[in-house]
Parts: sequence; structure tokens; C-alpha cells
Amino acid sequence: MIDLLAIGLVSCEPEFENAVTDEGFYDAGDADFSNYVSLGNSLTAGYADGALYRSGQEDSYPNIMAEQFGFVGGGDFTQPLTSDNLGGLLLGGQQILGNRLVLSADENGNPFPAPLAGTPTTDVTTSATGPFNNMGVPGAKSYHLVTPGYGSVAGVANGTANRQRNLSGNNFVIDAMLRGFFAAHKWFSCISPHSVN
Amino acid sequence: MKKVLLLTVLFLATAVTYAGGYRVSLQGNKALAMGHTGVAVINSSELVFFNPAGLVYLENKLSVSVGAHGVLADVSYQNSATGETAMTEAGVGTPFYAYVSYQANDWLAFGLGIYTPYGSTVAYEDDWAGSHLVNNIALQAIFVQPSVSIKLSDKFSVGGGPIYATGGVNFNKNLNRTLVDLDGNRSEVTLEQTGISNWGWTASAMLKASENLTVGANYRSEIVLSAEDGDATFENIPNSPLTPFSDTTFSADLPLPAELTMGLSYKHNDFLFAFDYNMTYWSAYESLAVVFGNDTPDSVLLRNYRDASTYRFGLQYEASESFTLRGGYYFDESPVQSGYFAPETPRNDSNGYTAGLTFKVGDRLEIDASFLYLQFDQVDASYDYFVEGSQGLQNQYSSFGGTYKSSVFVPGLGITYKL
Repeated sequence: MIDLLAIGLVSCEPEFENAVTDEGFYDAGDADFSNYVSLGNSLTAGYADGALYRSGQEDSYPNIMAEQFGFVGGGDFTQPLTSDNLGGLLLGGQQILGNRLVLSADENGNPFPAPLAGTPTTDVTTSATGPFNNMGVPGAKSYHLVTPGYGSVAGVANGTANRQRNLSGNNFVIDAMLRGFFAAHKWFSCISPHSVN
Repeated sequence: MKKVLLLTVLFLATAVTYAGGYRVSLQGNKALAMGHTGVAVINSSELVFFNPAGLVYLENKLSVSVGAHGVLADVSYQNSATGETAMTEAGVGTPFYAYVSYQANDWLAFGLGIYTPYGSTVAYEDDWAGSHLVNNIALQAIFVQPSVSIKLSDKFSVGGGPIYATGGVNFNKNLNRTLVDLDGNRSEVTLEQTGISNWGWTASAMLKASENLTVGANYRSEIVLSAEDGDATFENIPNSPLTPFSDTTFSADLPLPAELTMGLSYKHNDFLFAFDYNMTYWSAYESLAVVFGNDTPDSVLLRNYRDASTYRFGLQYEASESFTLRGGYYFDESPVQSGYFAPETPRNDSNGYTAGLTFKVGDRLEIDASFLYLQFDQVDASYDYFVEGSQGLQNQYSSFGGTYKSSVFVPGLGITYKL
């Protein structure tokens, strides 16, 4: 009787005739999704509410796309995640970018955006560990993709860019190539020139 | 004894499901083994539930039936357009019954029943794809029913009694598809109330048309469980004066629908054939309307159920002095209409296959065992009436759907004592 019950327990899980988790349910066609690198600006990086913060990055469109690519052979997708959900940025301990904005209200109930209180913990000089698949940089323009040294502390000061590259002197496309991403049939996505940021 | 104990533990560790909506048709091991027929079967004090009019025909002065069922139920969900998948986690619950009948004289009998005809436990992983409709729900209802059975002639009897119902609900869902707090945790609400009670009634008749043919009918009234001043707890709400959510009370009505059963049984030598037809008046369940005690906007989840039929067939064979064997089949029609397939009651039509036996231990004690396998086809279905919570979108419905597949196994064990 116990054995019978055990069989019942095991076979209890309902199975689909064609499960989406089955091998071959989705077909990649001729595309190779194993490596996906995204280039772009704030939209690509996951910038939201006037700052780059962790949960915004997790909701970045390349991250969402990479998740779906996982169904057709997509590999890991790494992002230069910030340290918190505040979004502010430090340079050597000094805050250089404000925290994200949240909706607040005055005493009459009129809504207005206000910076979220708190001390950020993300420092420009402590680069996150790469290489990264998401190379989106808030504020980047298309020509920055070929600007040598873009984002280095010494050069053009784009703090978030500095965090995802510490190969000095190269531009982004060369960086991506150096990291072996930019091969035939590899996937790039790029949103750029004139965006909200 | 050790095995019995083990079985009991297994029963306690399993989930409650429902057959059609949140109706749990597990009101007796003898009856369930025969496809849950019994409105015209004179067998034991299980008649308190199936047809109290028949109690007066029981041969023993005192008859007691006690038992329980363990429900092993799972639901799988997938959406081939998004690749999302989900699987319910086993909850905890034990549908049980206890019936007593007593023959006062040759035309009058009394009965008392405690049983659990409605309930549901469904738990998905928190924040799954359909979390704006349900994360988890636990619904229980216990019915207490004193009964009287009166023989009007040798062939015809009537019966019935009042029903006291008591129940509780615990329902957790995310507020909508997008709202999160500062750390990205999804905003959610838990509705909880226990000790909700109300009254109903049941009435029935039985006709012994001939030596071998018995006909019966039973009606059980609708009972509405009305939650008032229940606890509504909001969690992970954005820390802003603009989000109108704070812990408060809620009220909501949940109907436990009326049910009409008609059926017959025919005896031939050692065989007994039984047929029951159930009509469950699910159209009473139009919506789950939750009204909050403060300024929180009311939540109306349209259900729009329709009345649903169940067709039950059972066969009993008295194999020997000690063993009675039973088998059965039923077709259970879902009350859920197209476009209203909500994941907290993810039920489509099902086929129930049942078997069981009674083993007589001496003259007075019987052990009843039963097994039910409820077979569901996988179904592509959706719930198309979720109202987005944002202002300006008040009348915008969004749809949530995919492919569902359910599977239910129900072993059961009980005893019958006759004096």
C-alpha cells in the first residue's frame, strides 16, 4: 500500500504533451545565441528614475532579451551591476551623481519627483568584475562607441562607463572585440544616438 | 498499525483539491469507490450526506462511518509564447467525514454528519507569471448536519435537516503586474478570515420502487460564507503618500452553491449498480468582490460560473463474507466558462476513475478503502478580466493565459462500525 502511494506521489506531477522546457521546443533556426553583447546608452544600461540602480539594471531590455535567448541556446548575460537600489555614484568616496528620483508629495498632495534619501555605495573607481555582456552606458552617443578612453577617470568622465571597462585607451567596439564577443553570428544589439538621457 | 499510522501522516501532508470549482466530492469511502454515487444506495451512515431519507432503511440500530482522504493534486502551467512555466506546490489539508445514524423505531431515524464538501488549497511560487491573480489560496469549510429520516410507507421515506457551515479563507496575490517597493519587491495583499459561519439546509426523498430498484433525490441549499472585518494585509507597498494601500479590513461573499442529486440503484444477486446525477448551481458565483474598510479601491474579480452537471456510475460486488469490491466512473463538468479560467481554480472537465473495497473485521467493524484518479486533458485557457489598478485604466481588462494541466490522485481510508 505504501509502495502504491509512493508511485502515486511520483507520477502525480502533470506533464504536458509538449513542454516548453523540452529540448527542441523552441528552434534557434540558423542563429547562434550563445553570446549576446548589447551596446547602447541609458535604455540599454537599464537607467531609470534619473539614475542607474540595481533593480533597474535587472529590468534592462537586453537582460530581458537575454533571458528569452536562454530558450534557444543563449549563454550567461553579465551586467556591471551597481551595489544598491539608490543609484547614486561615488568617486573616491565623494558623491558625484544623485540618487534615483521617487514620487513624493507636498502637504497639499501634489506629486513631485524627489531624490531618494540615503548614501550610495557604488564607487566609480571600484570597477565591477567583467567582462560584461551589457555594454550600455547612460549618456553615450553613437560616436562614443569609437572614442578611445571613453569613461576612464582621466579621460572623458562618464562614471558608469568607467565601471564596466578598465582596459585603458580602447574604444567600446574594440573592447568588445578583445573580449571575443564580436565574432561571426554573434548577437549585438544597439540602441543609440538621441535618447531621453 | 504502523502502516495505518504512516498512511495517516501521508494524509495530513497532502493538498486539498476540488472537483468542479472548489467543490470537494469526497464524502465517504464506500460512495467514492463507486464513483461517488449514493443518493439511492442503502449502505451505511454515509447516507447522512448522500440522502438522509434513506437512514430509516438501515438495518442496524447504530451505524458510524468515519474516514478521510488524502489529495495529491498538482497543476502545471506554461505559456509557449513567453516560455513561462509554473507548478503548484503541495499544500496541507485533509477532507474528512464522520457520520452517525440511530434508529429510534421502525419509522424514525436520526443522523448527524460532519463533512467538508468545499475547499481548495492552491499555492504557486510567489511572483510567478500569474501572481497578479493568485500567489496562493487556502479555503476550508466544515459542514455540521443533524438529520431526521421518516418512513412514510414501506416504500417511501423523506429526510433532511439544517446545516451549520463554518469556514475560513487565506488568499494572497500581488496587487498588479508591475507595482514594486523601493527594493523591487512586488506589492502584495493577503486576505484572511477564519470562523465565518452561516446556515443552510438539506431535504431528500427515497423510493424503494421494487425489491431491487431504489430511487432517490437530495437537495442541499446554497450557503454564502460572508467575510466581514477580515484582515487585509498589504506588503511591499512603495513608501509614498500617493499609494493608497494600508492594512485594513475587508468584506467579501463566497457562495457555496446548492446541489441537486437524483439517482437510482439496482440490485442483482451480489451486484449493485448505481447512477447519480448532480447539478451544482455554480451560477451563484458571479464574482469575488472584495470591499476594503478604508479608501483602498474595491477589487472585483469576475467569475461568471455556470451551473455544472456531474454524471456518476458505480458498481458493487459482494465477493465474499469478508470482502466487498467496488468500482466507478464519473464525468465532472467544469463550471468555468471560456475566458474566465482563473489560476486559483484551474479546473477544466475531468474524468474520475474510482475503485475500492470493504473488509469486514468481525460482525461490527468494517474497513473501507478507496482510490480516485481524476484525469484532466491539458487545456489552453485564459482569464481575460483582470482590471489594471492604475487610475485611468479602470475599465481596461488584461488577459492571462496559457496551457494548464492538472492531475489528481486521492487515496482514502475509513471505518464503519455497526451495532
